[in-house]
Amino acid sequence: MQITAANETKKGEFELDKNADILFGVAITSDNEELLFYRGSQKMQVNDKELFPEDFESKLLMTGLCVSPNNRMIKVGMVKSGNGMVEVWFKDTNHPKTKFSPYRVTFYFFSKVKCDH
Amino acid sequence: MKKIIIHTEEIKKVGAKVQFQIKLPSTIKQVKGVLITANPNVIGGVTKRKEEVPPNENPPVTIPTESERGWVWLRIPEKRDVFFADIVRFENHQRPTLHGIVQEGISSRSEKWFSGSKREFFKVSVPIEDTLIEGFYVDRSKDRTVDYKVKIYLELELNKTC
Repeated sequence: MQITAANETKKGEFELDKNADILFGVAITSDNEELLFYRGSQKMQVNDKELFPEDFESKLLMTGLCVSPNNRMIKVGMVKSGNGMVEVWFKDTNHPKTKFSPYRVTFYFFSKVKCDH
Repeated sequence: MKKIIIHTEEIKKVGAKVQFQIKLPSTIKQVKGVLITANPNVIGGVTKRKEEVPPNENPPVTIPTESERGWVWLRIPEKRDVFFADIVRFENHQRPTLHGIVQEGISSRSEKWFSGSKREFFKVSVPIEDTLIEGFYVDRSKDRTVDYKVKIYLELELNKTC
């Protein structure tokens, strides 16, 4: 998701893979992590089930290099997501420690894929 | 079933003592986690206090970003029981302790390794019979003016509804 204006709220809809049966984790990164840390907040839901409410700060979903790669994902339980749709409302808010410049926010959704065998 | 709710309090007065109530869903079973953050308010990218300083006088006041802001308590009203208390601070994204670094270095096999933990809710287990939590916040700022908001995140466990 590309954030191009200060104080902008942007909605994104992402279709999950049809074989992605269960959603179990979320992570957020950015090409400018300082802006995401101070300015970002979002609401997230899967198939109309709320994962994080409005105004949930992005910094609470971020991890740095100091965290082991195996632990960099936020676990959200085992959410049934078959043929699902993820909706994200991302909000940018002014903060005195940062000056706005366009930045990209990347959302990662980790899922288990149904196996026929 | 899990749900997260957020309660926000605006603090605009030095030494402010704020009492507030957080309404919980009627299907509440227990509070499982608490997390508190504080963020300065801004107008058009600069602080309010900066605008109040007349030009050519003292240098603009900057908001201290790591100092203690205040103290918070949460309690169950029917029992008058405090189940959570904490010191609230502004956060700095470069502060290493924010991400809970334990150690960082080179292993005996000359490999770079990291050891840390995620930012997580403070785990509590508070059964709730009513649908209300009371809170109390005291500003402890040492500045002459303050303008910030405190966010209280509660992780709830809800009873399943039919």
